[in-house]
Amino acid sequence: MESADMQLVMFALIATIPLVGAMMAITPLLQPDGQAFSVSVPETAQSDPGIRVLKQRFVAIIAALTTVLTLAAVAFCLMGSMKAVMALVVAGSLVPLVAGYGLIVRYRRCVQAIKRERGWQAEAQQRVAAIGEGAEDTPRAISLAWNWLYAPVILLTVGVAIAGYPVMPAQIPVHVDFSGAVTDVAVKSPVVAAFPVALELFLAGCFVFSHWTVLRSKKGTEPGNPASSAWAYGMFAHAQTVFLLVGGLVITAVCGLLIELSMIGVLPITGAVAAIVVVAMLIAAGDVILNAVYGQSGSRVFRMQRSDTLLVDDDAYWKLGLFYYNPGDVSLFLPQRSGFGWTVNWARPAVWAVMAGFVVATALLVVLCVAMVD
Amino acid sequence: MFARIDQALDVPLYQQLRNEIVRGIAQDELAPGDALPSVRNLASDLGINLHTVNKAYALLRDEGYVEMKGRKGAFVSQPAAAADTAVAKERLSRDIHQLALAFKASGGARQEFEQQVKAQLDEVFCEKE
Repeated sequence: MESADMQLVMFALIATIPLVGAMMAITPLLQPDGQAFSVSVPETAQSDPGIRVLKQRFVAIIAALTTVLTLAAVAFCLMGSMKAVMALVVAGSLVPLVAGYGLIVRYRRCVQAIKRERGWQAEAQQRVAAIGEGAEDTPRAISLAWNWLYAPVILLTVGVAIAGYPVMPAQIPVHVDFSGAVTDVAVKSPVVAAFPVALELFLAGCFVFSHWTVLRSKKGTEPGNPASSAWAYGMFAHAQTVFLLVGGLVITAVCGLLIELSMIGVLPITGAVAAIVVVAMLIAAGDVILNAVYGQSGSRVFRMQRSDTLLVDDDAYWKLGLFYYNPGDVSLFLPQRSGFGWTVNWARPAVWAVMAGFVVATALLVVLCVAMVD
Repeated sequence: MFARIDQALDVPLYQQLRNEIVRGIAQDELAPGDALPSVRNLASDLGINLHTVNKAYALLRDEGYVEMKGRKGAFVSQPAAAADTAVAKERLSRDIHQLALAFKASGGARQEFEQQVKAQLDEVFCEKE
């Protein structure tokens, strides 16, 4: 049973490599038409031969890298070399990302050269925003109030911890190796029993914060197609927040409850780990599908009319094409330019405070983990 | 409605935003009682700073197009409040006078000015019907 659980864990971990690779490979293909490799271009430039070649090359390189890493991980798994598999899983999750963003930075320069050569210049610097009652009919992100659903999940875990504490063993397994053998234990205490609840609070906090950033974000409305792009962005934000809520609730419940149950001894730790890893992979796969269906900021929701006029050029604010820095923009959060979802405006001091808060919260959780094992 | 501003133009952004909201009211895209977005949301969506939107809203309030309801925010005023005041009529008269002077100074004829005014009136008031 434990061996089967660990095989499932290995399979799910290896699946991270193609998932990360797939997400990276589709990134430049699913951005709004007004940009290519983080450069503002006229929408009709998407059919420019130079830009199409860069996109094809990007997909080919990332797909080849991902395939090699995945096959190597599968081969080592079949040979039983679990340490090599783990090393490949870590490399396989990082290499496509680093290579992908490296290529985006490189191809950005190529697109800038094409842009100069073709004489694509913005005659205007237009911005649009929805105003008035009609704007309320547009699809939008779901309300933050939905996050109250985390309360019963956390309360249930608290209830399980309290009810199960008397039967909890004196030494609780907290770490296993690849064969399923326990390598670390924690001594029973109220702090140890409360760890799954702390983990749930941390996860719920992260998900609620992510949801709040979507609600506070600048909307991805394009000056060329304001109504359809606002509608598409609204559908994208709606889908993303529904997925965030459902995925967040599932992973929070699975992490907290299953770890608590394994501490009490109702469930073997390997079973809990296998369930958590598999659920995490399914959520990651769902995210790839969601992004492929909607495109960044809903770019795939409508087949919008492509214009050959460049109405806005934000290139100066996107450092390396990846980091938004605009002191004249009050927005803290805004849609990503080279990726899916949202990013921050690094010119706002509040963003730095938020990042510091996140680092402190993560550090506290790590300290709690270490204290628990010690 | 969609408010559109252009940072490449010489016209100040708060003035452009004010003009867009006035256009929305004139073209019935904004009705009396409609809520305007919060200053922060509108500034964020347009990618500009808070002061610019605050200035536009202050201007609209002084001109009677918008009323502020404390923490509830800004709302489009009833038309009577905007057009029937002595201040509004005086402003309209002054603006037309300035335009006529500028047109005459640049060599324009009275008849041509009247034609231009009529064409604009036809466009604006036809859209309302």
